Amino acid sequence: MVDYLYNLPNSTDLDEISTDIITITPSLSGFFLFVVFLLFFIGGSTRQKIRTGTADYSAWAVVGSVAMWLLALIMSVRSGFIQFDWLIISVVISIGSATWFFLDRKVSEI
Amino acid sequence: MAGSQLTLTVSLVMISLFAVAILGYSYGFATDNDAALNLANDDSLSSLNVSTRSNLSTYKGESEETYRSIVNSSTGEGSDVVKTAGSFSITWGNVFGITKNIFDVGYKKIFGSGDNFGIFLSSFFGIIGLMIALYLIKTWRGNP
Repeated sequence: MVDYLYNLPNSTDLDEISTDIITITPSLSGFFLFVVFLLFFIGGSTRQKIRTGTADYSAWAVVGSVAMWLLALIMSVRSGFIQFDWLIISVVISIGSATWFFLDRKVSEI
Repeated sequence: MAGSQLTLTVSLVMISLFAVAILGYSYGFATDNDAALNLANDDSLSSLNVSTRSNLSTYKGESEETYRSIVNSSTGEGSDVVKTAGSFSITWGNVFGITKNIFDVGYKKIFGSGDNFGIFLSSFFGIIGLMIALYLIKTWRGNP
């Protein structure tokens, strides 16, 4: 018998596997969303910088945060996937990114 | 940063509209899908939504009044500048207030209501206020 460091999730139901894993590690869903945000933000701006020489960091922050917020919304439909605080923080980060984006526009761009 | 009075005004209004849109969509999504977690259950975000909507509505009315006062104004022979900055100031107070509300709620959600990082918000609104003042005086009186 293998001695696991954590309680194995109930593997009879796909949704139960996810909720059990998130119950054991509550920050998992938050960090998953954070990785999605960074994937868009760092990936997008880096590729744009390689292609064009400059990167529109604030625009990529908005794209990343909106993607994160949409995933958070989908995860909020069923209880147990995401904590309420993460949902609120995803909205707050989206509004913060949008603030950066709109204040960052130049005269010719707005 | 923005490069003119119009750019900064439009930026602040767009920030408010974005906040209203994202909150409205979140509420609608939760209602339509009968979601387990509903942002409407959070008091501070709900009151931010209501206050931003009412501020935007006030802003709309006041900007219409400003527009009307500008098109009805006349420049007399020999006069160079208007005597007061009233026609510029009407539309500014509201959008600045809305942005401040949005930041206040966001800040409290991430950093909590303690005053450890208070200096960050104070400085940020200080610099935004200074920018608004400089844009106003520049638009009204020319380069300071």
